[in-house]
Amino acid sequence: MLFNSLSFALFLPILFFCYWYLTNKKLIFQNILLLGASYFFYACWDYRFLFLLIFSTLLDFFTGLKMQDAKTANVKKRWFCISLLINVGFLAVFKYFNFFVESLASALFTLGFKVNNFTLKIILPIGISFYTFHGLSYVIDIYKNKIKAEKNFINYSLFVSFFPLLVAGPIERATHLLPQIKAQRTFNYTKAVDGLRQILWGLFKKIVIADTCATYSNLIFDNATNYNGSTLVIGAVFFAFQIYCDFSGYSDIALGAARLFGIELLKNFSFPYFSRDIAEFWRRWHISLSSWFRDYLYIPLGGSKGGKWMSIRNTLIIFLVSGFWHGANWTFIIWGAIHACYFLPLLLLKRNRSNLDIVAKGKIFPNVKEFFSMILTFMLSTFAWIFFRAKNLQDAFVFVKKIFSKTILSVPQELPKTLFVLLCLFILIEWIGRESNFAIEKLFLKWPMPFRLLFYAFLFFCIFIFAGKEQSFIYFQF
Amino acid sequence: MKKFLAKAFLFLTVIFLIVFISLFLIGKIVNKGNYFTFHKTNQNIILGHSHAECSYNDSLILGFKNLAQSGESYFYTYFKLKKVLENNTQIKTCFVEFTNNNIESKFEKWIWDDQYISNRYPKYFAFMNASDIFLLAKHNTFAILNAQSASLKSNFLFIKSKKKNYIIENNLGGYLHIDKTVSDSCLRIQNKFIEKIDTINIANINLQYLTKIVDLCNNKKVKLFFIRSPTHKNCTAMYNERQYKNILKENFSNVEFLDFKNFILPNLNYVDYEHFNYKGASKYSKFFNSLVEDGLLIRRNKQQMIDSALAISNL
Repeated sequence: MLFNSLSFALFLPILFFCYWYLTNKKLIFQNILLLGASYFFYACWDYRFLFLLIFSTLLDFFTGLKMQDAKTANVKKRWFCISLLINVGFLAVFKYFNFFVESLASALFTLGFKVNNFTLKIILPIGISFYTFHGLSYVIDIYKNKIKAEKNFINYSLFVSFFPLLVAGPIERATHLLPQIKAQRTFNYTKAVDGLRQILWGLFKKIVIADTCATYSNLIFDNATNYNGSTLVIGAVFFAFQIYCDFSGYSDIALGAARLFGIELLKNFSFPYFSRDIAEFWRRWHISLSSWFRDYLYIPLGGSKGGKWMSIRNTLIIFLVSGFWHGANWTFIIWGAIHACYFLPLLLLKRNRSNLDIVAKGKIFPNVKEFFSMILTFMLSTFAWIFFRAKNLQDAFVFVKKIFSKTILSVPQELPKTLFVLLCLFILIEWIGRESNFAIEKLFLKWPMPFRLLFYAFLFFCIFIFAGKEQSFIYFQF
Repeated sequence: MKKFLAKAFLFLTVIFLIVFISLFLIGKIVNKGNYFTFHKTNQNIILGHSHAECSYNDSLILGFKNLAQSGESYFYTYFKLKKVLENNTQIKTCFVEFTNNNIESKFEKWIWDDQYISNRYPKYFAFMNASDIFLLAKHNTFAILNAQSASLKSNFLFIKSKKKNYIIENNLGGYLHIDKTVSDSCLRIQNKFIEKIDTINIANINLQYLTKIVDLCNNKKVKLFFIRSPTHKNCTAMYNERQYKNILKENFSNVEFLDFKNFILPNLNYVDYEHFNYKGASKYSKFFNSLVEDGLLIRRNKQQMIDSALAISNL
């Protein structure tokens, strides 16, 4: 069940109604209902993987309890290792097995050994990277005595499986979500309206911008050899907007939907394309994953405390792992490596925390330096997206080679006017609303009600016009 | 809570009302325009699915216009024919492909399966009545709801483009030129043995719309022929021949039937067991044209004339 599907448009209001009316506002019933609905939501993709999700939930729930009850540090460590191994094992088997086998076979072949390529036909269970990371953060936090193990299985299961975040995040922390699940929730009009507004904006980003960009970026990336350099640049820019609007659109719908049920999820995006350097970009892009890696990988590895070389090593590791998390393909690893190369100079020059606030805060326009910094950062991130989007490294290099040829000066072969107008409108709205949690959170709130409604109606109408084919979200494949 | 629900309901109602009115108005505009007009010399039209689409090269048949399209059920053919007859008073004869798969209920997926609705409904919705839309919605509600936006978009863009030919702009059919030639061995592989079946599920809705086509032609005083285009001699698609003939006899005895199933060509004229490639289409179209020129349509015993000509051509 996709967020941009009719079935979800039916599922959400029915659940909303049952949640606030039929459960009689009793917490236990509300949680059971949300858990049942979440499992139903997940089973709509493939009910077989529901068992994997339940197994993973049970595993972390019981290991969490065992770690808490452990009388010695060794016992606690043993349970922690069991959970860690099984969780990572799931990821390794379902997501990376074929990649490792193929890479090993290819490496041996290069060395002159002939080996049979033993790969399995493995279907990637949707959302496995996300719910495994939920579980991992939970057991790590218990192991480090940051939280106590949850004793109520319903509460814990809901933390892992809450439908808005189940298949593509945001990657939640037990410290943030579990207390909300355990607390009595009452209906809040302002929150609910905010939630609807965020869902509307998320749908606009996904259906109107991302899916329209996808039409052209897919065409250009799939036929890169037939296009000149300037068209490829346009294709890369379209992909940059596609992936941003696709993923942040998903996150907006997830956050908005959760808010309808009185739950606040972690913010995942904060206008990353208005960043002035790559460090700022990473503080604004897929925030829940970046912070997860920071807290559970970078800091345990020593962070930046062990001197210059330690910082470089840890930064490289975190970017490479982050790339590899996206998928079993060298293109993602290179994408991570490129970002590491962008980031390291800032780290070494200690300028990685120089842009903490949103650009041009309280002003209408940025100054010249800010403007060019934003353009440069956008260009750098777009260049890296080429590797992220390409099917393999060879395709990516062909793409890049063609961009840096003379044909970059020729007239683009694809110039969709409607899409350019839509992108300009989108960037304008994002710019105006950049100081809020999402672009239209406070936008036009001071306008008279009819005008504001007209604006929402316009967004709704655009969504209706551009809808039709339910396109999946890019991050579902991760 | 009540305030929230009331406001959300009101907002959505107004929005859907606007969408509904836009759909209705744009549909009306498209329906009113003469966008199906074609050249006055085309006095005969051919409708149907891929068999007809691949068989009749209308550039080789004098005064004919091929409007057939792959996977087209009579449901959609009916709306196409209605508009074509409204906009082209010169049309005197209509040939509708009636072959064995048209009577089978499993082919009714051509009316309401997701891909057919998403592809065809936006093009034809402007010409449908509420009952036709409800019929589709009854069988595939989600697909119909999903197709509304595409309907609004495609019709709006058509009006905006100020183009005059709805058939060409929306690709509503025409002769399909296929270059591909298959080898004899490939053709052998494609052949799946199908036993003759005694009972089949009849495509009631599809046949209901075929009856509507018959009535429409009668009302417009257009001579209607059912036609069975040729297929390969080893084609097994005629496993339901008995039921097929029964339906023809019982339901459509008032419609003249022209059967070309015995028109046989060597393998290199086919793209598969059911369709001609351009070579086969060319030969068959010339053959068909010669029959028409020799007065096939005014003869009393048409099938006899066809069979005699076929006997000579197959020698």
